[in-house]
Amino acid sequence: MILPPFDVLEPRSVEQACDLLAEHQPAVRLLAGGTDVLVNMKKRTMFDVHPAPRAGERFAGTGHPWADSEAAQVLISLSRIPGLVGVEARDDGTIAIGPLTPMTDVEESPLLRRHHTALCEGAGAIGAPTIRNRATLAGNLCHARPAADTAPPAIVLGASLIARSSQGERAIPADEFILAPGRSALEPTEVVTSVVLPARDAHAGSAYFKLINRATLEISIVSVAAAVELDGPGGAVSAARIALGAVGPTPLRAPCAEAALLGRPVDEATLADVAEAGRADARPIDDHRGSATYRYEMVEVLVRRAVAAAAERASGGAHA
Amino acid sequence: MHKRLIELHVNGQRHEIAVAPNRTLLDALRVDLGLTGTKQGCGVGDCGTCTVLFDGRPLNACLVLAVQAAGHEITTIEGVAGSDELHPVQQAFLDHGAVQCGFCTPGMVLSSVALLNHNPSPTHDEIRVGISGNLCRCTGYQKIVEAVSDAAGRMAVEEVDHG
Repeated sequence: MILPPFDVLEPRSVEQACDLLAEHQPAVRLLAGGTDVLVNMKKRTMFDVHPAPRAGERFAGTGHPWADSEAAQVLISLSRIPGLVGVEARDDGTIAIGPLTPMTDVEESPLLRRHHTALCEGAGAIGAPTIRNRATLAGNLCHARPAADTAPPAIVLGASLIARSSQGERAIPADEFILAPGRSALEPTEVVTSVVLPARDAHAGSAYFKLINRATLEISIVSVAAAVELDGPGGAVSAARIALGAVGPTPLRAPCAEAALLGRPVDEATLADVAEAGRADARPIDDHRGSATYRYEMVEVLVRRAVAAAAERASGGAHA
Repeated sequence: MHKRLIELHVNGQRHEIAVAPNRTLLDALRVDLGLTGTKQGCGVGDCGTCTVLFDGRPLNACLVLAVQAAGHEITTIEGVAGSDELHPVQQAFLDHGAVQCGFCTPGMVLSSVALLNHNPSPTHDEIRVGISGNLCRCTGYQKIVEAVSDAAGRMAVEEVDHG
Protein backbone atom coordinates (compact mmCIF):
# COMPACT_ATOMS: atom_id res chain seq x y z
CA MET A 1 0.00 0.00 0.00
CA ILE A 2 1.29 3.39 -1.00
CA LEU A 3 1.36 6.51 1.15
CA PRO A 4 -0.12 9.65 -0.40
CA PRO A 5 2.26 12.59 -0.81
CA PHE A 6 2.78 14.82 2.23
CA ASP A 7 5.48 16.86 3.89
CA VAL A 8 6.94 15.91 7.29
CA LEU A 9 8.01 18.51 9.80
CA GLU A 10 10.13 17.54 12.78
CA PRO A 11 9.94 20.25 15.46
CA ARG A 12 12.47 20.16 18.29
CA SER A 13 10.19 21.56 21.02
CA VAL A 14 6.53 21.39 22.01
CA GLU A 15 6.25 25.18 21.49
CA GLN A 16 7.50 24.77 17.94
CA ALA A 17 5.08 21.89 17.36
CA CYS A 18 2.15 24.02 18.60
CA ASP A 19 3.13 26.87 16.31
CA LEU A 20 3.46 24.57 13.28
CA LEU A 21 0.16 22.90 14.10
CA ALA A 22 -1.64 26.25 14.18
CA GLU A 23 0.12 27.45 11.05
CA HIS A 24 -0.76 24.47 8.85
CA GLN A 25 -4.46 24.03 9.75
CA PRO A 26 -6.58 22.30 8.60
CA ALA A 27 -4.71 19.76 6.43
CA VAL A 28 -2.26 18.77 9.15
CA ARG A 29 -1.88 15.78 11.47
CA LEU A 30 0.34 14.97 14.41
CA LEU A 31 2.49 11.87 13.94
CA ALA A 32 3.57 9.89 17.01
CA GLY A 33 4.31 6.18 16.54
CA GLY A 34 2.49 6.10 13.22
CA THR A 35 0.90 2.69 13.75
CA ASP A 36 -2.55 4.23 13.28
CA VAL A 37 -1.93 7.43 11.30
CA LEU A 38 0.23 5.84 8.60
CA VAL A 39 -2.08 2.83 8.28
CA ASN A 40 -5.07 5.12 7.82
CA MET A 41 -3.20 7.22 5.30
CA LYS A 42 -2.23 4.11 3.35
CA LYS A 43 -5.82 2.89 3.41
CA ARG A 44 -7.08 6.37 2.51
CA THR A 45 -9.23 6.41 5.63
CA MET A 46 -8.92 9.32 7.99
CA PHE A 47 -10.36 9.21 11.46
CA ASP A 48 -11.00 12.77 12.47
CA VAL A 49 -9.63 13.85 15.83
CA HIS A 50 -11.35 17.20 15.82
CA PRO A 51 -14.05 17.86 18.42
CA ALA A 52 -16.73 19.02 16.00
CA PRO A 53 -17.08 19.58 12.28
CA ARG A 54 -16.38 23.19 11.42
CA ALA A 55 -17.54 25.29 8.51
CA GLY A 56 -15.83 24.16 5.34
CA GLU A 57 -14.18 21.22 7.06
CA ARG A 58 -12.87 18.75 4.54
CA PHE A 59 -12.44 15.64 6.62
CA ALA A 60 -15.16 15.92 9.23
CA GLY A 61 -16.90 12.77 10.32
CA THR A 62 -15.43 9.47 11.33
CA GLY A 63 -13.55 7.12 9.15
CA HIS A 64 -14.88 8.21 5.81
CA PRO A 65 -12.62 7.50 2.85
CA TRP A 66 -10.85 10.40 1.24
CA ALA A 67 -9.06 11.04 -1.99
CA ASP A 68 -5.38 11.93 -2.16
CA SER A 69 -6.33 15.51 -2.89
CA GLU A 70 -8.02 15.69 0.52
CA ALA A 71 -5.17 14.11 2.48
CA ALA A 72 -3.29 15.83 5.24
CA GLN A 73 -0.58 17.72 3.42
CA VAL A 74 1.62 18.07 6.46
CA LEU A 75 2.52 15.57 9.19
CA ILE A 76 4.17 16.96 12.30
CA SER A 77 6.37 14.22 13.73
CA LEU A 78 6.86 14.64 17.47
CA SER A 79 9.63 12.08 17.91
CA ARG A 80 12.55 14.56 17.75
CA ILE A 81 11.18 16.53 20.72
CA PRO A 82 13.18 15.63 23.83
CA GLY A 83 11.40 14.72 27.06
CA LEU A 84 8.23 13.15 25.66
CA VAL A 85 9.17 9.53 26.49
CA GLY A 86 9.29 7.91 29.91
CA VAL A 87 7.43 7.16 33.13
CA GLU A 88 8.23 9.46 36.03
CA ALA A 89 7.18 9.46 39.70
CA ARG A 90 6.60 12.95 41.02
CA ASP A 91 7.06 14.20 44.58
CA ASP A 92 3.30 14.54 45.09
CA GLY A 93 2.79 10.82 44.41
CA THR A 94 1.39 11.28 40.91
CA ILE A 95 2.95 9.56 37.92
CA ALA A 96 3.58 11.43 34.67
CA ILE A 97 3.85 9.40 31.48
CA GLY A 98 5.38 11.01 28.41
CA PRO A 99 2.89 11.01 25.52
CA LEU A 100 5.32 9.24 23.17
CA THR A 101 6.14 6.46 25.63
CA PRO A 102 5.90 3.23 23.64
CA MET A 103 3.40 0.61 24.80
CA THR A 104 6.26 -1.78 25.60
CA ASP A 105 7.62 0.70 28.16
CA VAL A 106 4.17 1.29 29.66
CA GLU A 107 3.61 -2.46 29.90
CA GLU A 108 6.98 -3.14 31.54
CA SER A 109 7.27 -0.07 33.80
CA PRO A 110 7.94 -1.26 37.38
CA LEU A 111 6.50 2.04 38.61
CA LEU A 112 3.16 1.39 36.86
CA ARG A 113 3.10 -2.36 37.57
CA ARG A 114 2.94 -1.67 41.27
CA HIS A 115 -0.19 0.46 41.56
CA HIS A 116 -1.53 1.00 38.02
CA THR A 117 -1.59 -2.58 36.77
CA ALA A 118 -4.61 -2.11 34.52
CA LEU A 119 -2.71 0.34 32.34
CA CYS A 120 0.21 -2.10 31.96
CA GLU A 121 -2.27 -4.80 30.97
CA GLY A 122 -4.02 -2.51 28.48
CA ALA A 123 -0.73 -1.48 26.87
CA GLY A 124 0.39 -5.11 26.75
CA ALA A 125 -2.84 -6.18 25.03
CA ILE A 126 -2.24 -4.05 21.95
CA GLY A 127 -1.11 -5.55 18.66
CA ALA A 128 2.13 -7.51 18.96
CA PRO A 129 5.64 -6.67 20.21
CA THR A 130 6.51 -5.08 16.85
CA ILE A 131 3.52 -2.72 17.22
CA ARG A 132 4.00 -2.13 20.97
CA ASN A 133 7.58 -1.03 20.36
CA ARG A 134 6.31 1.78 18.15
CA ALA A 135 2.73 2.62 19.20
CA THR A 136 2.50 5.34 21.85
CA LEU A 137 0.21 5.90 24.83
CA ALA A 138 -1.06 9.30 23.67
CA GLY A 139 -1.45 8.00 20.13
CA ASN A 140 -3.75 5.22 21.31
CA LEU A 141 -5.87 7.64 23.37
CA CYS A 142 -5.99 10.41 20.73
CA HIS A 143 -7.02 7.95 18.05
CA ALA A 144 -10.17 7.70 20.17
CA ARG A 145 -11.43 4.30 19.03
CA PRO A 146 -14.20 2.59 21.03
CA ALA A 147 -11.90 -0.42 21.54
CA ALA A 148 -8.70 1.51 22.40
CA ASP A 149 -6.97 -0.76 24.91
CA THR A 150 -5.48 1.96 27.10
CA ALA A 151 -8.70 3.98 27.37
CA PRO A 152 -10.66 1.91 29.94
CA PRO A 153 -7.55 1.61 32.17
CA ALA A 154 -6.85 5.36 31.87
CA ILE A 155 -10.47 6.08 32.80
CA VAL A 156 -10.60 3.84 35.87
CA LEU A 157 -7.22 5.06 37.10
CA GLY A 158 -8.43 8.67 36.92
CA ALA A 159 -5.82 9.74 34.34
CA SER A 160 -5.69 13.27 32.94
CA LEU A 161 -4.30 14.27 29.58
CA ILE A 162 -2.36 17.53 29.62
CA ALA A 163 -3.02 19.37 26.37
CA ARG A 164 -1.02 22.36 25.20
CA SER A 165 -1.51 24.85 22.40
CA SER A 166 0.00 28.25 21.61
CA GLN A 167 -2.86 29.63 23.76
CA GLY A 168 -2.00 27.70 26.91
CA GLU A 169 -2.35 24.44 28.74
CA ARG A 170 -5.28 22.48 30.21
CA ALA A 171 -5.96 19.09 31.79
CA ILE A 172 -8.62 16.85 30.25
CA PRO A 173 -9.89 13.92 32.38
CA ALA A 174 -9.59 10.60 30.54
CA ASP A 175 -13.31 9.88 31.00
CA GLU A 176 -14.17 13.09 29.14
CA PHE A 177 -11.52 12.67 26.45
CA ILE A 178 -13.12 10.37 23.88
CA LEU A 179 -16.30 11.97 22.51
CA ALA A 180 -17.26 9.80 19.55
CA PRO A 181 -15.62 7.12 17.40
CA GLY A 182 -12.35 8.73 16.28
CA ARG A 183 -13.15 12.05 17.91
CA SER A 184 -11.38 13.28 21.03
CA ALA A 185 -11.78 16.41 23.13
CA LEU A 186 -8.45 17.66 21.80
CA GLU A 187 -8.69 20.93 19.88
CA PRO A 188 -7.12 20.84 16.40
CA THR A 189 -4.28 23.05 17.64
CA GLU A 190 -3.53 21.10 20.82
CA VAL A 191 -0.72 18.64 21.54
CA VAL A 192 -0.86 16.14 24.43
CA THR A 193 2.28 16.73 26.48
CA SER A 194 1.73 14.31 29.34
CA VAL A 195 -0.62 11.69 30.78
CA VAL A 196 -0.87 12.09 34.55
CA LEU A 197 -2.05 9.38 36.93
CA PRO A 198 -3.07 10.24 40.49
CA ALA A 199 -1.40 8.49 43.42
CA ARG A 200 -3.06 5.23 44.45
CA ASP A 201 -4.14 4.24 47.92
CA ALA A 202 -2.18 1.45 49.65
CA HIS A 203 -5.21 -0.87 49.40
CA ALA A 204 -5.90 -0.14 45.74
CA GLY A 205 -5.85 -2.55 42.83
CA SER A 206 -6.79 -2.53 39.18
CA ALA A 207 -7.12 -4.94 36.27
CA TYR A 208 -7.91 -5.00 32.55
CA PHE A 209 -9.42 -7.90 30.63
CA LYS A 210 -9.89 -8.11 26.88
CA LEU A 211 -11.91 -10.70 24.97
CA ILE A 212 -10.41 -11.53 21.57
CA ASN A 213 -10.59 -14.31 19.00
CA ARG A 214 -6.85 -14.95 18.92
CA ALA A 215 -4.03 -14.05 21.27
CA THR A 216 -2.46 -11.11 19.41
CA LEU A 217 -3.02 -8.52 16.70
CA GLU A 218 -6.69 -8.34 17.58
CA ILE A 219 -9.26 -5.67 18.33
CA SER A 220 -11.41 -6.32 21.40
CA ILE A 221 -14.87 -7.82 21.17
CA VAL A 222 -15.41 -6.59 24.73
CA SER A 223 -12.94 -5.17 27.22
CA VAL A 224 -13.32 -4.17 30.87
CA ALA A 225 -11.10 -2.28 33.29
CA ALA A 226 -11.76 -2.04 37.01
CA ALA A 227 -10.03 -0.13 39.81
CA VAL A 228 -11.01 -0.52 43.44
CA GLU A 229 -9.90 0.76 46.82
CA LEU A 230 -10.67 -1.29 49.92
CA ASP A 231 -11.03 -0.31 53.59
CA GLY A 232 -8.27 -2.84 54.22
CA PRO A 233 -7.20 -6.27 52.94
CA GLY A 234 -10.40 -8.18 52.17
CA GLY A 235 -12.45 -5.19 53.34
CA ALA A 236 -15.37 -3.28 51.85
CA VAL A 237 -14.96 -1.27 48.65
CA SER A 238 -14.42 2.40 49.49
CA ALA A 239 -13.93 3.58 45.90
CA ALA A 240 -14.68 1.88 42.60
CA ARG A 241 -14.36 2.70 38.94
CA ILE A 242 -15.30 0.39 36.10
CA ALA A 243 -15.04 1.13 32.37
CA LEU A 244 -16.12 -0.85 29.32
CA GLY A 245 -14.51 -0.96 25.88
CA ALA A 246 -15.95 -1.95 22.47
CA VAL A 247 -19.55 -1.96 23.70
CA GLY A 248 -20.48 1.62 22.80
CA PRO A 249 -19.47 4.44 20.47
CA THR A 250 -16.76 5.35 23.00
CA PRO A 251 -15.20 3.61 25.98
CA LEU A 252 -17.89 3.88 28.69
CA ARG A 253 -17.90 4.45 32.42
CA ALA A 254 -20.11 1.84 34.10
CA PRO A 255 -22.02 3.76 36.82
CA CYS A 256 -24.54 0.97 37.52
CA ALA A 257 -21.77 -1.56 38.10
CA GLU A 258 -19.82 0.92 40.23
CA ALA A 259 -22.88 1.62 42.39
CA ALA A 260 -23.46 -2.10 42.91
CA LEU A 261 -19.87 -2.48 44.12
CA LEU A 262 -19.42 0.51 46.40
CA GLY A 263 -19.51 -0.14 50.16
CA ARG A 264 -19.58 -3.93 49.86
CA PRO A 265 -16.95 -6.61 50.42
CA VAL A 266 -15.95 -8.30 47.15
CA ASP A 267 -17.54 -11.73 47.58
CA GLU A 268 -19.51 -14.01 45.26
CA ALA A 269 -22.83 -12.26 45.90
CA THR A 270 -21.31 -8.83 45.21
CA LEU A 271 -19.56 -10.03 42.05
CA ALA A 272 -22.81 -11.49 40.73
CA ASP A 273 -24.67 -8.20 41.35
CA VAL A 274 -21.90 -6.06 39.87
CA ALA A 275 -21.64 -8.24 36.76
CA GLU A 276 -25.41 -8.14 36.26
CA ALA A 277 -25.44 -4.36 36.75
CA GLY A 278 -22.66 -3.98 34.17
CA ARG A 279 -25.06 -5.14 31.45
CA ALA A 280 -27.13 -2.01 32.00
CA ASP A 281 -24.07 0.14 31.36
CA ALA A 282 -23.21 -1.44 27.99
CA ARG A 283 -24.57 -0.18 24.67
CA PRO A 284 -23.19 -2.71 22.20
CA ILE A 285 -24.01 -3.10 18.52
CA ASP A 286 -23.90 -6.12 16.21
CA ASP A 287 -20.81 -6.17 14.03
CA HIS A 288 -18.42 -8.67 12.47
CA ARG A 289 -16.60 -9.16 15.79
CA GLY A 290 -19.70 -10.22 17.69
CA SER A 291 -23.42 -9.71 18.20
CA ALA A 292 -24.83 -7.27 20.74
CA THR A 293 -26.43 -10.21 22.57
CA TYR A 294 -23.09 -11.99 22.87
CA ARG A 295 -21.40 -8.80 24.02
CA TYR A 296 -23.96 -8.28 26.83
CA GLU A 297 -23.16 -11.80 28.06
CA MET A 298 -19.43 -11.17 27.86
CA VAL A 299 -19.66 -7.82 29.65
CA GLU A 300 -21.06 -9.75 32.59
CA VAL A 301 -18.20 -12.27 32.49
CA LEU A 302 -15.44 -9.68 32.07
CA VAL A 303 -16.80 -7.27 34.72
CA ARG A 304 -16.78 -10.13 37.19
CA ARG A 305 -13.20 -11.12 36.32
CA ALA A 306 -11.86 -7.56 36.30
CA VAL A 307 -13.43 -6.62 39.64
CA ALA A 308 -12.30 -9.89 41.25
CA ALA A 309 -8.72 -9.41 40.01
CA ALA A 310 -8.63 -5.74 41.04
CA ALA A 311 -9.92 -6.61 44.53
CA GLU A 312 -7.40 -9.42 44.93
CA ARG A 313 -4.58 -7.04 44.04
CA ALA A 314 -5.98 -4.42 46.42
CA SER A 315 -5.84 -7.04 49.17
CA GLY A 316 -2.14 -7.55 48.49
CA GLY A 317 -2.19 -10.24 45.81
CA ALA A 318 0.36 -10.69 43.07
CA HIS A 319 0.42 -7.02 42.15
CA ALA A 320 -0.63 -4.39 44.64
CA MET B 1 7.27 17.19 -2.07
CA HIS B 2 10.99 17.92 -2.10
CA LYS B 3 13.36 15.13 -1.28
CA ARG B 4 15.62 15.65 1.67
CA LEU B 5 19.03 14.30 2.59
CA ILE B 6 19.08 11.96 5.56
CA GLU B 7 21.70 9.75 7.16
CA LEU B 8 20.58 6.19 7.84
CA HIS B 9 22.65 4.00 10.16
CA VAL B 10 22.11 0.46 8.93
CA ASN B 11 24.02 -2.60 10.15
CA GLY B 12 26.77 -0.37 11.50
CA GLN B 13 27.22 1.54 8.24
CA ARG B 14 26.23 5.13 7.51
CA HIS B 15 24.38 5.90 4.30
CA GLU B 16 23.45 9.35 3.09
CA ILE B 17 20.39 9.18 0.85
CA ALA B 18 17.81 11.57 -0.54
CA VAL B 19 14.24 10.52 0.24
CA ALA B 20 10.77 11.94 -0.25
CA PRO B 21 9.01 12.69 3.07
CA ASN B 22 6.47 9.90 2.44
CA ARG B 23 9.17 7.25 1.84
CA THR B 24 8.87 4.41 4.33
CA LEU B 25 11.95 3.00 6.03
CA LEU B 26 11.08 -0.27 4.28
CA ASP B 27 11.30 1.29 0.81
CA ALA B 28 14.46 3.19 1.73
CA LEU B 29 16.10 -0.10 2.79
CA ARG B 30 14.92 -2.15 -0.17
CA VAL B 31 14.99 0.38 -3.01
CA ASP B 32 17.55 3.02 -2.01
CA LEU B 33 20.02 0.75 -0.21
CA GLY B 34 19.30 -2.50 -2.07
CA LEU B 35 18.85 -4.44 1.18
CA THR B 36 16.09 -6.73 -0.07
CA GLY B 37 16.34 -9.20 2.80
CA THR B 38 13.64 -7.15 4.54
CA LYS B 39 10.38 -8.17 2.87
CA GLN B 40 7.28 -6.20 1.97
CA GLY B 41 4.12 -7.96 3.05
CA CYS B 42 0.83 -6.44 4.15
CA GLY B 43 2.12 -2.87 4.42
CA VAL B 44 -0.02 -2.12 7.48
CA GLY B 45 1.85 -3.70 10.40
CA ASP B 46 -0.04 -6.98 10.60
CA CYS B 47 2.31 -9.55 9.06
CA GLY B 48 5.75 -8.64 10.43
CA THR B 49 7.72 -9.65 7.35
CA CYS B 50 9.25 -6.14 7.21
CA THR B 51 10.56 -6.43 10.80
CA VAL B 52 13.84 -4.63 11.47
CA LEU B 53 15.54 -3.71 14.73
CA PHE B 54 15.24 -0.01 15.53
CA ASP B 55 17.67 0.89 18.32
CA GLY B 56 17.57 -2.82 19.18
CA ARG B 57 13.80 -3.24 19.22
CA PRO B 58 11.84 -5.08 16.53
CA LEU B 59 9.24 -3.02 14.67
CA ASN B 60 7.52 -2.85 11.30
CA ALA B 61 9.63 -0.90 8.78
CA CYS B 62 6.49 -0.36 6.67
CA LEU B 63 5.09 1.92 9.42
CA VAL B 64 8.16 4.09 9.98
CA LEU B 65 9.04 6.99 7.72
CA ALA B 66 12.64 7.04 6.50
CA VAL B 67 13.04 10.60 7.79
CA GLN B 68 11.98 9.42 11.26
CA ALA B 69 14.64 6.69 11.17
CA ALA B 70 17.49 9.10 10.46
CA GLY B 71 20.18 8.83 13.12
CA HIS B 72 18.72 5.70 14.74
CA GLU B 73 20.54 2.36 14.65
CA ILE B 74 18.80 0.02 12.22
CA THR B 75 19.60 -3.69 11.97
CA THR B 76 18.26 -5.72 9.05
CA ILE B 77 18.62 -9.44 8.38
CA GLU B 78 21.78 -8.64 6.39
CA GLY B 79 23.41 -7.38 9.59
CA VAL B 80 22.66 -10.36 11.84
CA ALA B 81 25.30 -12.90 10.85
CA GLY B 82 28.98 -12.64 11.77
CA SER B 83 31.60 -12.26 9.04
CA ASP B 84 32.10 -15.99 8.56
CA GLU B 85 29.33 -17.69 10.50
CA LEU B 86 25.59 -17.43 10.92
CA HIS B 87 24.00 -16.01 14.04
CA PRO B 88 23.04 -18.86 16.40
CA VAL B 89 19.35 -18.09 15.71
CA GLN B 90 19.90 -18.43 11.95
CA GLN B 91 21.87 -21.67 12.39
CA ALA B 92 19.16 -23.08 14.66
CA PHE B 93 16.47 -22.21 12.07
CA LEU B 94 18.44 -24.22 9.48
CA ASP B 95 19.09 -27.15 11.81
CA HIS B 96 15.44 -27.40 12.90
CA GLY B 97 13.90 -27.03 9.45
CA ALA B 98 12.21 -23.85 10.65
CA VAL B 99 12.21 -22.41 7.13
CA GLN B 100 9.75 -23.41 4.45
CA CYS B 101 9.04 -20.72 1.85
CA GLY B 102 11.31 -18.36 3.79
CA PHE B 103 9.30 -15.17 3.34
CA CYS B 104 8.65 -14.68 7.06
CA THR B 105 12.15 -15.84 8.03
CA PRO B 106 14.02 -12.49 8.10
CA GLY B 107 11.37 -10.99 10.37
CA MET B 108 11.15 -14.14 12.51
CA VAL B 109 14.92 -14.17 12.97
CA LEU B 110 15.06 -10.49 13.93
CA SER B 111 12.18 -10.77 16.42
CA SER B 112 13.87 -13.85 17.89
CA VAL B 113 17.27 -12.16 18.14
CA ALA B 114 15.68 -9.19 19.93
CA LEU B 115 13.78 -11.53 22.25
CA LEU B 116 16.93 -13.43 23.22
CA ASN B 117 18.87 -10.22 23.79
CA HIS B 118 16.12 -9.12 26.19
CA ASN B 119 15.34 -12.52 27.71
CA PRO B 120 18.19 -15.05 27.25
CA SER B 121 16.20 -18.10 28.42
CA PRO B 122 12.58 -17.69 27.37
CA THR B 123 9.89 -20.32 27.88
CA HIS B 124 8.05 -21.63 24.81
CA ASP B 125 5.13 -19.36 25.72
CA GLU B 126 7.43 -16.33 25.90
CA ILE B 127 8.90 -17.25 22.51
CA ARG B 128 5.38 -17.43 21.06
CA VAL B 129 4.63 -13.95 22.39
CA GLY B 130 8.00 -12.70 21.13
CA ILE B 131 7.27 -13.79 17.55
CA SER B 132 3.53 -13.05 17.68
CA GLY B 133 3.92 -10.06 15.35
CA ASN B 134 5.41 -12.31 12.68
CA LEU B 135 3.01 -14.44 10.67
CA CYS B 136 4.09 -17.69 9.01
CA ARG B 137 1.57 -18.94 6.45
CA CYS B 138 3.35 -22.25 5.93
CA THR B 139 2.16 -22.79 9.54
CA GLY B 140 5.59 -23.83 10.73
CA TYR B 141 5.45 -22.19 14.14
CA GLN B 142 6.33 -25.32 16.12
CA LYS B 143 9.72 -25.75 14.45
CA ILE B 144 10.41 -22.03 14.76
CA VAL B 145 9.69 -22.10 18.49
CA GLU B 146 11.95 -25.14 18.88
CA ALA B 147 14.70 -23.40 16.90
CA VAL B 148 14.55 -20.25 19.03
CA SER B 149 14.59 -22.32 22.21
CA ASP B 150 17.61 -24.26 20.96
CA ALA B 151 19.33 -21.01 19.91
CA ALA B 152 18.87 -19.70 23.44
CA GLY B 153 20.72 -22.75 24.74
CA ARG B 154 23.53 -22.38 22.18
CA MET B 155 23.95 -18.70 23.01
CA ALA B 156 24.14 -19.50 26.74
CA VAL B 157 26.91 -22.03 26.03
CA GLU B 158 28.78 -19.48 23.88
CA GLU B 159 28.46 -17.00 26.70
CA VAL B 160 30.12 -19.45 29.09
CA ASP B 161 32.83 -20.39 26.55
CA HIS B 162 33.70 -16.80 25.92
CA GLY B 163 33.62 -16.06 29.62
